[in-house]
Amino acid sequence: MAQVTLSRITKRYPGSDTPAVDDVSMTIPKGSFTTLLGPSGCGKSSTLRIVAGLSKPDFGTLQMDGRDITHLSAAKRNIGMVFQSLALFPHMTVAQNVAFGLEMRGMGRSEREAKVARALDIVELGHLAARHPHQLSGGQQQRVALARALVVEPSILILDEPFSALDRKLRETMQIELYRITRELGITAMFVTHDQEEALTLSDSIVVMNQGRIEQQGTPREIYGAPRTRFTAEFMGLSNFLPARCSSGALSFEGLTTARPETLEAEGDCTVALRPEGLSLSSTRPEGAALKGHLAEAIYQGASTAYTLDLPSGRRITARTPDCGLQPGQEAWVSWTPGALHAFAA
Amino acid sequence: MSPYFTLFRRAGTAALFAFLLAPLVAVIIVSVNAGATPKFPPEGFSLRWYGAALANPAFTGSALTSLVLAALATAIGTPLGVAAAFGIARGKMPSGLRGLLEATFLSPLIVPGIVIGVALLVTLSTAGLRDAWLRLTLGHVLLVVPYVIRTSLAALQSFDPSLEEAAHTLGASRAKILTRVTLPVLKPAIFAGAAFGFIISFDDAAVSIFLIDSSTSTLPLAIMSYMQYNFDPSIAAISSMLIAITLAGALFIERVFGLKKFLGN
Repeated sequence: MAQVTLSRITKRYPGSDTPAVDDVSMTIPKGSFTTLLGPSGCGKSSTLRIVAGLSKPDFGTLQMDGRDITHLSAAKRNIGMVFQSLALFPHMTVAQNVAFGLEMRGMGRSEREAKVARALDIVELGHLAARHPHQLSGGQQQRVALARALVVEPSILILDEPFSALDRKLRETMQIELYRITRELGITAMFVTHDQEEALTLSDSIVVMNQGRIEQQGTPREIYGAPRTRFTAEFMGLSNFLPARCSSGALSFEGLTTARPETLEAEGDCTVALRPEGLSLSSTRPEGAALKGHLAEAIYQGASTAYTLDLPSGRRITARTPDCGLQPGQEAWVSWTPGALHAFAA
Repeated sequence: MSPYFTLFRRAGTAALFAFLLAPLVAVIIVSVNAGATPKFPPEGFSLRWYGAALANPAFTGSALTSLVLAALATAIGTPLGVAAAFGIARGKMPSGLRGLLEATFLSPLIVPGIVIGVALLVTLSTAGLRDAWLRLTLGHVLLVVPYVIRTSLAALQSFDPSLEEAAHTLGASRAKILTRVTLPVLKPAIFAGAAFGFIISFDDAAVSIFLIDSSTSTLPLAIMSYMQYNFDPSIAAISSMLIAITLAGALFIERVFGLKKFLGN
């Protein structure tokens, strides 16, 4: 296991005006599971390919345990990589696929076979060692790809949206499996996904990327609980953005003044976001901070109902709460739990 | 769909198959004719014309020539074709040039054999190459190469590049990636192209006729020249054997690659 440090990594593809990776610096601590999260085209896969050595940065350096590996061939970086397409060798059996990396390292047959057997046991595929990839289900193929990457005892495990082709149920099973395996083996891992739930489930640390740059980096709790930019907030499922002003002790928006959240770093103009799941509605004025509005829509969605409220300013907010019996056309007060209000620089 | 239409469609398919296959069946029936002329219906059953065909040194000698020539042309043409396919598929060049190269390399599939034959005759004679084996080998390599390029190129274009990247991240050098991953994955396609090329070379008459000399002839040309002076069922016998060999080749391609994949691209 190793610590990997990216310093000012920049990559521009020919024919493109904007860099795919723009001055990215981060550290992936030893034994940590770090996820690059962002929409497609945000630079997360390009960053990952640079760490893997499949692509060379135009600028910046890459270090592994303090050693400069910027110009080291991918073959010599001792990485294990799981590809989006899995990239299992179709002409080899499961065991041959898993043994490939060991063979390339010149390991003898008996040692190789023992390691392959152990790796297949970890992913619970020992009984399918003689099969070819096309004879396996999607989830089994996934495990083979993971075993092939793990068996070489990589300094870092790199995973490029490995679960994107799986259906929801299987994806969740594989996420739990990956979580278990990486924590049990204490693996340093770099994971790429555009799925925020997947990132929250798996990661010790999340790096949100947008347009080639790091938008925010932190633990899942920090990223979800205290997004620092509107982009991160939106990506983590926040909505109900309202313009606000903040001063030294207070935050005011929609004619309301409340205490300023501790995480807010801005001065002056800023934005407030209210998490729809953290809002509640009532027909009478509740205690504490609340906004009054006109209920425009109530859409029943089973576990919750989505209420749309028109505020006096003309802006709309959505609350997702258990059915509270209010009907469209009524006046309603909306209040929030402390964690549902986020504020960040505009 | 109405049952009448289904019936009509089946009858049409049957008629088409009959049209395609009846002449071949007729040749096989004629080949076991006991009489002295290729007549239909045959006058009794006999394998004597097979014996006569195999006893004729003009046939056996030229059959050996054709086999060795096809094997030689395939052995030389296959690596050339694979290399060309790699160049066309992966070379760094503008897409216009790529298209031009592909069309040029595949052109022997479209240009009539007789034109290729005349062109080769003129060129090789000008270059002073008069040895029939050398000329035939060069000409037949030209026949084999586009078939290998076609199947290899199709396979390369649908090749998942992450297979090579996976091998690379697992520690494989460029040479190891090629020999352990890329070529094995392409192998069925390469074999199919080579098998097609072998059959085309073995069956060719149009190109070969310009390249042989008085002492070296291929089997299709030996059959043609025999027919000018003789008219007996040994021609049918030798043709039946050719049908069998071609069929075996086609079955081989179907088994390792799938004919549809080759013809459909």
